[in-house]
Amino acid sequence: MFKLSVDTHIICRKGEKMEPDEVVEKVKSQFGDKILDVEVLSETRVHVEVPKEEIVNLASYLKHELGFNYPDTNFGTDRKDDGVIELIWYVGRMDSPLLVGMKTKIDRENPIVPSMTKIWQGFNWGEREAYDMLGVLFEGHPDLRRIYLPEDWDGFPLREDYVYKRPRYTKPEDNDPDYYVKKF
Amino acid sequence: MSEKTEMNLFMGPQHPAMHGLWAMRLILDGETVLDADAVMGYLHRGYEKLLQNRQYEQGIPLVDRLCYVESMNWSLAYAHAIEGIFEVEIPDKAKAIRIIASELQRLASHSLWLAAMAADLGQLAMLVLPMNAREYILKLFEMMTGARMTYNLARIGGVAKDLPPHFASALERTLEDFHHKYGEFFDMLDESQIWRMRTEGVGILSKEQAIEWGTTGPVLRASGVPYDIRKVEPYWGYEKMKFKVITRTVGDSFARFRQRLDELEESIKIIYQALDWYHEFRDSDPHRLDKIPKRPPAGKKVYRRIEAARGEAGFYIESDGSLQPKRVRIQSPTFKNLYALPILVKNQKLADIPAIMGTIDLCVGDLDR
Repeated sequence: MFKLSVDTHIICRKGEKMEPDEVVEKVKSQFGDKILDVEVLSETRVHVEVPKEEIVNLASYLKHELGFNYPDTNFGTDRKDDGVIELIWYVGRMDSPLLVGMKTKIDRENPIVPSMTKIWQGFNWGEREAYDMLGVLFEGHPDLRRIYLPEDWDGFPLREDYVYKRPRYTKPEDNDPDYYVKKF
Repeated sequence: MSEKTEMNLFMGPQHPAMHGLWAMRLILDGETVLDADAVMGYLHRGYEKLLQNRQYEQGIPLVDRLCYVESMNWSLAYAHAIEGIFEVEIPDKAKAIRIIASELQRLASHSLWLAAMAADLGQLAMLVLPMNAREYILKLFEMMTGARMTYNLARIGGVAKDLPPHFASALERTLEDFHHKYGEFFDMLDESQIWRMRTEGVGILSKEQAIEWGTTGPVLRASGVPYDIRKVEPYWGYEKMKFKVITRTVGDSFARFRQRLDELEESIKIIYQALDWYHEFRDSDPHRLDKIPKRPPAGKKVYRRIEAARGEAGFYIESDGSLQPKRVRIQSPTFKNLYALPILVKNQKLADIPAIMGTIDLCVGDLDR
């Protein structure tokens, strides 16, 4: 585990001092055995993994009880060998360097997960990007469509088995012999 | 004829005021914007997949080109994250050089921002003056690295080269000059009635909105939140540097504009302190570590952020024990800040769009990745 060269207590100016162990304890006391995994990566990064059904409860607990109101970043990782896509949402507080990463794993064949946009609006575009690159469908997202690639792109590039298919451009008259008759 | 007065306007990708290659679909009623939608991806180069298919060192010159306007910050950020994966600590001299390079890049980036924004709003004299000031900083970079724009100065374990012998005097002369010029920019714009009319009260971003929408960097600080990663989570020795975190309360375009100009002053202070720090270690420390492990430990995850000119630039790297990372996630400040723009321009006039867009300081390189 990498040791920070500075004492993090000095930096938190107001509010509670948030240390990773404190957060882990609170989350564990609230959710108990529903937590699948907790990783304390360093003094300022914690990952908490829960199954997909509990992710909304964990999110509202972090925001409303523990005060993590700043959406930092979210993305997904494709793990083809395990057959899952792992999603993570990092949230933070304005008075602390601590970032809590909420993780969940979803099935690659059926990648549906509740969206976090109702709780933190800043995750809107990040979830669109996860849909664009990995094909993850977010339930309850107000505007789920591709963000980088064109709307008619085929495939999800960040998946491990993505193969780039050179697009075949067809003209409208190839599909419909009466195209020009109807047009004019 | 229909009675509809709405007009669809595609403020397209090739547009002199767009600060890059992205577009906005607008629905206008006369001059008032009813709805806006951002369309991006014209500069999408698939960076995350690119970095995952290359070894760690091979990614560093690539990352320079993410946001080419402040490329030093990006390659230093990537090297910073890789050092977290390899679990190495860089020598103090390298840290001082990184601070000097990063803050100089902030000066150059803010000069370009000011030139672009002033030109958008019609003040063409202020297009040329900050670009002229930026030229002297690029000259310094050329002395330091050999390049004017994409520098490739970062290495895993330090920096590629030491500072050249007469750098300190050139740096001090340039900074004095720049400080004087910055005073001119301030006088040109701050006391200009037209500038004030166009930017005051336009695009007000409240504190709660700024936090809820995930904005970062000067946009967040101009709305009253004192969140600066150099203070909250210091890296490379920033905890030794004395500087203030500047905030403004109003959160309109004028506040964001003043916020960046005031941050320039703090950056100049930091550079002087870092230069003194560098001189302590000039003869004793290497500028780069000799030995770095060949492979990182498997399963290690690191998410490190730095304060780039536009906000929080972060890299999440996950390693699987091989020479290439398993997952690289690039966290870009423009991506986070731009979410606010289509919401802020609603019910504003069409002419306010450059005033708001300029102060959010877009660089499409890191928006699209």
